[in-house]
Amino acid sequence: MYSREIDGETLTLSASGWTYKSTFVLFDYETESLWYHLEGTDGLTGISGVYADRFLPEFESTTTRWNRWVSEHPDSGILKYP
Amino acid sequence: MKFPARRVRRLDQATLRQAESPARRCGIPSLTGEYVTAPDLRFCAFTVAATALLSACGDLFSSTPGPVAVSRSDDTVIIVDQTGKRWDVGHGRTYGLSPSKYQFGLGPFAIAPIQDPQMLAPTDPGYPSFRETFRVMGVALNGSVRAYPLGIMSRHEVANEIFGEAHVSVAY
Repeated sequence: MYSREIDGETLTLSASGWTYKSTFVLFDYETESLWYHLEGTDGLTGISGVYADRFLPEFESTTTRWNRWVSEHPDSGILKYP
Repeated sequence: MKFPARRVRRLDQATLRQAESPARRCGIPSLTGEYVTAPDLRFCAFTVAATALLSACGDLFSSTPGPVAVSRSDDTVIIVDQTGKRWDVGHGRTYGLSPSKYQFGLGPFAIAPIQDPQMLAPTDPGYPSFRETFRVMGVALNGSVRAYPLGIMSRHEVANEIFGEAHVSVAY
């Protein structure tokens, strides 16, 4: 999970349709800059466009099973089918 | 009256193996929108058929495509995706990203992000049982706790979210 705030603006991130080494390359709707999670870094690096060389830091998230997550967080919401 | 003997189906090895299949571990959601853990065979069959169809249409959709065209000039390296959209990936080389290694190029609208994610609360109808074992990404931030099933996230890749004051993208 990544912050999508930069320079006081809020970006809208999406998959670009490209992958690089089996990892999705993202882009923002606002400028069509490409964003990629480089190995060994803690967030997204702008690799193209207006936000080239900029950085969006990641937030902590946990990948686990539902039964384990809800036992630790009984009040957790769950994403509705869009 | 004599009742016919009932045939009892024992759990055999094949059934047990299917229960531990990758599809089940991923928790592919059923077509009716319930949170289930067992694989939905109709979804699996559709995915297999769709993949086979795309592979067969070699000219229309490359199954292992790279950039459709590459052109260079000083720092600019343009790759063109399957919708004809052009992307300049020249600068990515400073991070070791080679323009020839970008794959698929499905276009910017092929995998739409979730723009206004709605959450089910524990008291809402349809909230999954605490016994379900489908995989999720779990996040706790600014007092909100939310789980994102990987079965949904693998179809959209990104959910643009707001946690209190923080604007974030949940990405799988």
